[in-house]
Amino acid sequence: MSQILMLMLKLFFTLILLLNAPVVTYAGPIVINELQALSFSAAIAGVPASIVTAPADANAAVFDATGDINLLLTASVVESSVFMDNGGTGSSNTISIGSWTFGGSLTDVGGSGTASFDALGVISNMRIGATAVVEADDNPGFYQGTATMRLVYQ
Amino acid sequence: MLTHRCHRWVIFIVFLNMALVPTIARAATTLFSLNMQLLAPVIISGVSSLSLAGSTTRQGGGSVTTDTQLTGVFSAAGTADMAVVGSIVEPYVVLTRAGAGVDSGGVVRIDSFALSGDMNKTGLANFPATGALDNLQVGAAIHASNPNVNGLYQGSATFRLVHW
Repeated sequence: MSQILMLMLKLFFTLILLLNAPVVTYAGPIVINELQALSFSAAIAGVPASIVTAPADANAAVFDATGDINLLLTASVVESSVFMDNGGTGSSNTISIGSWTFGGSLTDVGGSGTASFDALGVISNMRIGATAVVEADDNPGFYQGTATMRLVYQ
Repeated sequence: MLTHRCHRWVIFIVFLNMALVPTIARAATTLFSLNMQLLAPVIISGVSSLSLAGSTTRQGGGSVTTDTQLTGVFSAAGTADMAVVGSIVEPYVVLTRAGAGVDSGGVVRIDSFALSGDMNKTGLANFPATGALDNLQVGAAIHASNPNVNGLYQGSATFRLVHW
């Protein structure tokens, strides 16, 4: 008798788990695709400059994503700033990137962007720009780096 | 006994629930690429000046185009594999005869330039892997008119290379 009662209690709490978890947490997984890298206009070595790529520029980073239909999301770049390098080491071989800006289907809210998945669970043309800071002692070369784009359901 | 076992099961369920919450994706991240080309400054050197002296005679006031071999030649250092466009800044240049004033007999006007050598005729050139262009040729046509007298006419023009 006690074993039957025990089993019923287990089933009861298991049912609670199954009912509770989806209500609280369930949302379809987000899948992000990078369609275009973030590029900056070429600059001349030896001349300090801030090179800005705006979200509306042709060389801004472009993404699309799939997720749960009609859900709001926040887009951001995890790192406040990152460095690109030309394969060398030291500060004269690195260029700092920061001041991320958001556009396209994202509404820039200062440091991040907001949008929502459409009725098909798709969001396209999310665009990110930034500013590259070239120092006077930066060496010529092709600089590359990475940053992390994050999407979070609101 | 019953209570104790049930209690353990409840604790298990609660922890399981807590453990599952963070595992359900509410966020996603992806790395994306950044890139930028930092160019070496273009440095231009004059190898030989553009000289028409001795090769040009006034021909009834007509225009005379220099022989290709008499063009000015420049070299340039820059970033390998980058394209540049060469041009003469001034739309025309006035050469003045030494010792003469600026009356019509003492000046000759260069009103067109021609680009060749490492450049195509529109001025486009590509730095090779060495980052050096050593045969940027600039020719010119002069317009001599009847009042011009014999003598050495001199002037200057500005050759410009711009990353394309």
